[in-house]
Amino acid sequence: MQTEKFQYDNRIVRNFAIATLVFGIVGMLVGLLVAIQLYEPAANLGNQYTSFGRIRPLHTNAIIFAFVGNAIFMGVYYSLQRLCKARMFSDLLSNIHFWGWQLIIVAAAITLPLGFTTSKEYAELEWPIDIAITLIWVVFGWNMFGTIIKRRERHMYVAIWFYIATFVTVAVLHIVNSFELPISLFKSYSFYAGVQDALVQWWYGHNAVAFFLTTPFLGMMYYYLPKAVDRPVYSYKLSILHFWTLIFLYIWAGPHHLLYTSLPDWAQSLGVAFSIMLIAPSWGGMINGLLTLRGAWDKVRDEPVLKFFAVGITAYGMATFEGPMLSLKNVNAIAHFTDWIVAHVHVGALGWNGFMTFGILYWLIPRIYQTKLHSTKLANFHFWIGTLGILFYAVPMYWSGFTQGLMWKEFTEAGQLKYEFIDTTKQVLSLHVFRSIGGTLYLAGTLVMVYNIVKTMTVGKLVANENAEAPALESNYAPTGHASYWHKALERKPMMFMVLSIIVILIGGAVEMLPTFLIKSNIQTISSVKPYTPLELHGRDLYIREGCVGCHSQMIRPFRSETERYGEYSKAGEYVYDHPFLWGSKRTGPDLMREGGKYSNSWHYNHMIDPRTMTPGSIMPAYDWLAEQTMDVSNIKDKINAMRTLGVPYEKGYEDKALQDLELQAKGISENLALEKIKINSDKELISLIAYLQRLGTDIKLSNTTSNK
Amino acid sequence: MFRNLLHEISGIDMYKIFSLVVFTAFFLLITIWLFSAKKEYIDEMSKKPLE
Repeated sequence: MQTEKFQYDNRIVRNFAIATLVFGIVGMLVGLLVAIQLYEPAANLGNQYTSFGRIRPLHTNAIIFAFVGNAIFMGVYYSLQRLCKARMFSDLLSNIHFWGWQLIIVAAAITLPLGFTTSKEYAELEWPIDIAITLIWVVFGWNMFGTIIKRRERHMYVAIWFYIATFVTVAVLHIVNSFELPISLFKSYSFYAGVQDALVQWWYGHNAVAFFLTTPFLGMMYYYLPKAVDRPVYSYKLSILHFWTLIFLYIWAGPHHLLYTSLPDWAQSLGVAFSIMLIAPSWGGMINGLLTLRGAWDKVRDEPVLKFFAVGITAYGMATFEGPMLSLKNVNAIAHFTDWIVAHVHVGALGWNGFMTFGILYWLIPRIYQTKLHSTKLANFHFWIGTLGILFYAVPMYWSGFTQGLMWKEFTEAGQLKYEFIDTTKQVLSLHVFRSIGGTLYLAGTLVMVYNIVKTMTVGKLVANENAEAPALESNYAPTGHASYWHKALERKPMMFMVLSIIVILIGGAVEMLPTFLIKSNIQTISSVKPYTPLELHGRDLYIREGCVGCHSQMIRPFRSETERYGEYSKAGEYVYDHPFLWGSKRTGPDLMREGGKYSNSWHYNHMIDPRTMTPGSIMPAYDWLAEQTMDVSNIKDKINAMRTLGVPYEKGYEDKALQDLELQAKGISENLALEKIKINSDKELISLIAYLQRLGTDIKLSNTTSNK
Repeated sequence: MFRNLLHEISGIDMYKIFSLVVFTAFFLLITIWLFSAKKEYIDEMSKKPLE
């Protein structure tokens, strides 16, 4: 057998590691800022570019796609080369992938504060960036499959399976959820409307968690954990079972984000059932990870890498137990829209993704720099302050979540709601202060790590091209024995493996989504629900731009506590013209589904200029610039045309009358405000936002619901 | 648009049952394969990261 000499590319691993550190710090800093804004509105810094609605998506995108994303690529590029006994397929593709991804991050960091957003959670970036993501993702896949195909290792270790599933599923999710019709360079409307948009979005949102934050890290766990502890994984069989059942089940669970909403009931039930079943593979994975440490716990005491892994995997276990519990309808009724969800995702993000990333960094950097870690003591310090940070973060958020959920539902003996919404806001304020302290501790630990890693890098020297050798694969290999058929079918043909993974994940998506799209009776239309007027449509776009959906839901669930507080519960048919849907997932402020007609125009005006004059104790940022900025109505015609293309029944030729209608309606509102001694020109942005808010939910307030099924 | 292609479907419950059947079949298939896999293969695979 001939031995071939080749070199591993460590430079690309190092580059992704540096990007992970840089964007980790940036993402956490923005997170800290938004956390402070939730108890100190002045922290919005008095301008639109740093207001909560615009930079909260910046925080989530920075953490998910910049910090965790770069960490994934770092971990995959290192382990894939070793597991395939081959250099990455193409240095050029590696570099295009690296720089392309960083450019996308920069584009996100610029466009989100500017208010260019689709408003769909974790998919906020506008269409040109969506296309760039698709291209760069393909480059990543191309590079990965190229490496797998030219490998010098007969078998594909389970970590690679997880990487392949990650690649194909994220590609499918991103493409399906990003179907949008561009209006201009940075504005588009979702192809889907209302309930369908919600279903697609949470199919995406849930599986972004599954296939961006979970499967790549499980793959990395199956590689780096055995490496760090120097023994094979507890059960390889379990890891295979873990893999197939996890990717099969995850894809179905999306609707648990939409319980008690207007989504058809059968789809909700499916989501719940599969969420409960998900405990099995998730815990299988956790147990497999923790049991790999069996008999090696003495090493855990001394080795910070293993400490991070142990807590990270435990956090994974906790979050994946909690997830299915949260998807039980009775638990969800209390937890949904509250800080409980924030606590839940941060156990995952800080504990699982963060700690696994830190562990891998501490393990990997000294190796590619051929030196020892600068300071084990500092790494241990990081571990403890990080763990403390997670506790200080999670405990107050759980407490806050329970408080909100219970206070919102509490009635007096006379049968009236016991608390105003603002009472709950004030009640949890101090808990939010504690949360930001937790975040600060966690960030401090990360800064210590950056110092430690940079020191390690300066002491050592990067082995950019690491020499390695392995025998070439014989081309005429004939597998024998029982496993040979499966081996041939799956492992020797990575493309076949990819196709199989796609089929497995598509089954769930198709069964859930197709009926909602294909069967009319799933979404009942309501005859009194009419398309938005041009001014309302413009106001709706401002609502999207300012990220109002980050704090306000538009979805009244059929509970007495909600119908008493907000009005008639939401019907699927009310959203048929909503491209995109704006149901929201968090009630930092009250629901706005039936906001229309609740208050006067002047109330809204004053409230937007300074929320605290109307609602003492409110933590909403002021939006005074909306009263100064002039509406951009130049593309109103395009908007009407686009909406019509998407199925909104504007009359033929209406686009030519739209501007006239818009101005007329705006004039009416400014005249109405003038009666209350408020002077504002009818061409200001605030006018259109008021028009939109006053329209919300009024379609079925005005007349009785009539279903024309 | 395309949501109007089909107007009615009988027995939406079929979807839940279909899902359960598909998953159970899938799960059994993998389990059978795992139990029939050779020990040497599994051992060899589990040592891959340490090579």
